Amino acid sequence: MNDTIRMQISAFIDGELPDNESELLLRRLSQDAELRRVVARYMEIGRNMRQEAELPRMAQLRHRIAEELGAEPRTEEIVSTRLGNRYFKPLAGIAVAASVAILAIVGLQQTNAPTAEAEAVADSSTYTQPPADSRLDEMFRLHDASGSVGNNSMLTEFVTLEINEEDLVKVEPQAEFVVSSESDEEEDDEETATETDEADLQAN
Amino acid sequence: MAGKSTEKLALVIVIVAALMTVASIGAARDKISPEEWLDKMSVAVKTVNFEGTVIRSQDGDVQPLRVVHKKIDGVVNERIVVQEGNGLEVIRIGDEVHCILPDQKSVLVEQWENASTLFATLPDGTIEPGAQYDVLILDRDQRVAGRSVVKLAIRPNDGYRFEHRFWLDQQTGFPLRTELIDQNGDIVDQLKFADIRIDAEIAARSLEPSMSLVDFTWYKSPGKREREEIQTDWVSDTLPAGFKAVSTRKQLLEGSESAVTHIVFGDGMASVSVFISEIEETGMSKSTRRGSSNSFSTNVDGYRVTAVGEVPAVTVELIASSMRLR
Repeated sequence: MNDTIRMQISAFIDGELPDNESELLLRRLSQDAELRRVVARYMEIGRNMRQEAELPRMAQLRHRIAEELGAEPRTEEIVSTRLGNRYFKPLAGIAVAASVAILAIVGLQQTNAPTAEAEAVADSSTYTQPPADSRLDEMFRLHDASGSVGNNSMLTEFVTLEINEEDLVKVEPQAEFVVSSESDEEEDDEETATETDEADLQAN
Repeated sequence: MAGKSTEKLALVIVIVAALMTVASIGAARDKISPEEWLDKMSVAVKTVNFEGTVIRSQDGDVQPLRVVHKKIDGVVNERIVVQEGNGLEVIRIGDEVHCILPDQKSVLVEQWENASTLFATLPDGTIEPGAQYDVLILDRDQRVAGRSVVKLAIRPNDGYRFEHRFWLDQQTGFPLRTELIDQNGDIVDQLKFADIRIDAEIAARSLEPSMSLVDFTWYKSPGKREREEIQTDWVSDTLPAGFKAVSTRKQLLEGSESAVTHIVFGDGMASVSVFISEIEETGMSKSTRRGSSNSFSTNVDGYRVTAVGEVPAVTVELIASSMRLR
């Protein structure tokens, strides 16, 4: 990667790149996975340096990359159908929130997962299979997320994910997570590369 | 000869002393009250590092999970791997969570804000023994995951809540098995460790993804949830004893433009959510059951009121029907 691109990325992150050049950079980003990784790494570095939870530009970048990639399906890889009630595995008092989240995800992929649900008109002792009730689903979800006594929000997050499926955006992997699963040797190389990039960034 | 006798005597003394020590440790453990065990558990779930296999059963579903949990510089690091099915992995560092779906070659990035991943509901320290619940020691001589445990029950004194049982590690107080029991005595939710290593050395690698994520696609949901507390004129005129409002928020239901008022009532163990919305739907009162959770919807003063919680059906019905505008 040449210095011009580095400077462009740096300027883009700082919000100082002219619009026409931004468009070019974004187009290039959409076609170049390695470049996207570099940008993500730059932003991560900046975020760490500033001790910020989230760089404002990060969200914008995600959004713009998502827009740029708008031609290709964004979420179909994960969610092909809406599953309604099947997400809402009952949460009992001592729930393994993690496994609830996992069930929710498994649910994303198993369209024929059975539901454990029964409904009845009040005062009736006979339970019948209910029609889908998305409002009620949503209330179960919000309740699970609201727990005042240490309830974990994992289930909620995943259901939120399902609900917002059309808004899902692709994001860049954080370098440390991608790198950590590679071999130690590659890890060392990546760290060196990151340091070099950081030095370049500061130089710029 | 005299020397050998002395040695034997010394050996006997050592053995007797050792037995007395063991007995006194056991006696000391026996003196720990049920409430002290609960306190010990609360500390343990926040401080114990562990690696183990958890089996969760609910409604006939059995889900084995491999869990690694380690606090590093005060930050929770966790890795959870589904042992059956699609090999899903959840990696957590503090609030940031990455869910890896190997068969989809995808990673979902999420923010979770609570400290405990494994235990969704534990007593919050406000239970008054003898009031709504009794805290009892049921057994001191059981074993779970190869470790000695003490078995505790948090047993309700009325029909408005469920019973909780905990099997706590004798050494640390960490819950190795939990059960939720409904009013009929049936187990509606259960979790137990099949094996566990507590406070053992946990390699950094065991907290990392087991696969390379280089060619994975990463996704993030930009959705944000409302967390701000509001004031409301809605009150309950007949809450079951011990329940009180612990939070009130305005929230949007998916697919709906208008916000609902969401009030959470808790008794220190169980919680019930009440949702109040202007009527968009007409209909009679309705109760619903999902596993251990119940809901009840009814109309009050021109509003639709729905109560949801991991409590008996009678409790959500009572609470929903008791809501009034001040």
